[in-house]
Amino acid sequence: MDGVLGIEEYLVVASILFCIGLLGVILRRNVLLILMCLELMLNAVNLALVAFARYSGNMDGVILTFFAITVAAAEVAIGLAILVALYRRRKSIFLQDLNLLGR
Amino acid sequence: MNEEILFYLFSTLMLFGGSAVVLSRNPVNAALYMILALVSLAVLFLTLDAFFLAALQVLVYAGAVMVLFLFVIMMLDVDLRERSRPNIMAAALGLVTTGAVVAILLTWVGEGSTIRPSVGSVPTPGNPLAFVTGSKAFGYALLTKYMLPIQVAGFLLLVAMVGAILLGRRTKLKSSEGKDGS
Amino acid sequence: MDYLTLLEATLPDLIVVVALFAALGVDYGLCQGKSPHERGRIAGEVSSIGLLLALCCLAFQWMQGSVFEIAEGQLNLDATGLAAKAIVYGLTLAVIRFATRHCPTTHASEYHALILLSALGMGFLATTENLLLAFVALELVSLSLYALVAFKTSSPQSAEAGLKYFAFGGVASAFFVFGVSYLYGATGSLDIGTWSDWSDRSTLFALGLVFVLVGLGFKVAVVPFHLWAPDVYQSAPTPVAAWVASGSKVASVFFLVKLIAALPPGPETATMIFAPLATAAIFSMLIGNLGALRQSNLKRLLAYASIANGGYLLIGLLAGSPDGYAASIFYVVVYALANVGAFGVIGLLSDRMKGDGRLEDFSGSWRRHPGLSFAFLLFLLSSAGIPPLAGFVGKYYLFYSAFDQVEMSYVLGELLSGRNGWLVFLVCLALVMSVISLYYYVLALKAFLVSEDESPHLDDDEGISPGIKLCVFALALLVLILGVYPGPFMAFLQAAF
Repeated sequence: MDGVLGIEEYLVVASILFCIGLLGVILRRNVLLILMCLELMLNAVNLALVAFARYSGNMDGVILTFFAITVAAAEVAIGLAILVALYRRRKSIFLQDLNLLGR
Repeated sequence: MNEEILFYLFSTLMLFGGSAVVLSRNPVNAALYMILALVSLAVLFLTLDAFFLAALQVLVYAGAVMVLFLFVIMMLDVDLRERSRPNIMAAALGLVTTGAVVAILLTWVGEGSTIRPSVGSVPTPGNPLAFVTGSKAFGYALLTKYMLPIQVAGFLLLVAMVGAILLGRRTKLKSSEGKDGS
Repeated sequence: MDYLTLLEATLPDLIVVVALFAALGVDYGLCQGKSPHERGRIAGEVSSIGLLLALCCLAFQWMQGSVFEIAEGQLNLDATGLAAKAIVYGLTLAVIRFATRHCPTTHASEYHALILLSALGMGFLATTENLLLAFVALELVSLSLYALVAFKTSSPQSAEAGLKYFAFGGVASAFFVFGVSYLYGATGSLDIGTWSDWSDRSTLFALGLVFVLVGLGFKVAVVPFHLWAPDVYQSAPTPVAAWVASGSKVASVFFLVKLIAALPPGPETATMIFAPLATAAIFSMLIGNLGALRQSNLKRLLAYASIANGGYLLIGLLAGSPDGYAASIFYVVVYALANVGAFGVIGLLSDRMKGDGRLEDFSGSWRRHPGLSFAFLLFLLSSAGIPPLAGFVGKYYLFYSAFDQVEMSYVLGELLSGRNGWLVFLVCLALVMSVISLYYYVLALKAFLVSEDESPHLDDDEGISPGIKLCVFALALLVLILGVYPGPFMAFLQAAF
């Protein structure tokens, strides 16, 4: 590192990406896109973790990133399976059409 | 200097890709922008000397996860574009949360952090898990200190497999016996 | 790390793993021609035997006084750790018994296997002190619960509830791991035990802690993150609802207590998390109890009650003393026992009637199933906090531990300022809310006791196997014993902190 590029830059970028993902989860009505935005959030975490690991000088953070990638892949598999099951029954993947509950 | 150029270029690209995912109306476009964001993130990993993770990022995310997304989009094969506008309350709430988190972070940056880069740390017998770039260190950590988590992660994948098979299969409305193997 | 020690320490978990593969293997290999009901019964028996063996193994380790510490606190299996694991597996056993009776689809063995897999994750979550293992275990729990909630693919509501649970859970786990990354950045380590040098990065540390609490708050269904609970409890298969309400809550509270107890001492730490936690507790009690008043569905009613209970048990954490931590754990264990029992009885009664748990579906249950209804009465009264039962003792310990931390003063202004004021207000609110909760619990019981139709004794307890009856009886007995004679268990928990 040349000393100019500090950990702060990485952290700010990671937080902005995390917030973009969060915003997407809150705003979007399409379940597929909500899943993608969840992935964005997890990726932001990965960036923060690797930056911290690089700067604090041990491997733990990088290993956690490795596990986070594994977990994210498994989460997508389950999420998409639920989505497909939902689509088979309801023929829609939009939140505004999901209204059977709460009565 | 090169690292700085790479950082600014690819973090801009990544944030652009991320915003485009949130804003695009067509899921296929969103998936492609997502790939842009993920690959840019892999490059950011490279600037942080995490070469093995960068490779994994491209292989697992851009390679496997996004293909899965595209596969499902194609399989559902309907008009997936959104019809309704998002509601204002949710938008406001989201913006406020976002603003708050970024603001807190910027204060922290303003305070001046004490985390300094530790360049050239080398694994020693006393500190076998010091940050190094190669994949050998990964293998060492996963088979020593993180032996148990890697087993648990295996079960996680088993759950994903069982769950995906169960939920994703077509439910027979008329129960037919015989080929009930899975 | 010594692999042999790891093997020895995780022997009970390995037995569960073997049971889970045995359940799957027996089903695929030997039971292909049998009816779904028969296959479910066999898978349930295999799982139960595995869990019983695991419990025996835990008891054996406990009697030997084994203390395992794997890889710098990744697993911390002292007496408390073994007890935590035993509690989780005991609850699993009860849930498996209830699940055996009625499988929502034809995939009985996968149903049981997923329950066992989530139990495995809960066991690790309850005993770990490492944020990485906690994250992976939490995800193992979450993913298997998502699949279980959405399990009944033939019902349109089920997938919807599964999706809702998944969306909230996904955001919560993203927050959790984001918080973990900040904690890691602030302390340079993923082990909770090494939190000492953090003060110069306190903003980062505080932010990370709040994010981690968001992730756990989702699991415990504390207020801003409670929206999934009513829908999931209503639409999931009843044993799964019992499991979501008990097992995942117990394991998360064990980890939560560990997290809070490990916080470095100092006034900054207290102020950092006190206000957010106290606010969450207040709103959980308000929204949970007031929401429950309006429910006509028994499962939704219990869901709102569980939100309120999440609020109560935060009081023990806020007290911030060993007594408070022990009280929180005592309360959540008692609550889980009563809740598994209550959901179990609901499942036994309503799955036959094809109802989805509306209150009027249960009218006259007293006449048809006196034993089960009496057990249900015990479970609900315990949750409501009626004296000889365990719920009352739990609440008493919680409120006492909070009052114990209030610095007595005869000047009202001093008594009601700052932390003192929060604690006094919380306990008073909890007392008022407990009284209000009596109303809806009694309303639920009334549905059981009063019957309009004078129908004769229908199919009494037909189809309810002795094993299930024994299970309900054991749960009711535990609720009673822990209420009458709570001393040893409480002393054991207090010794842990």
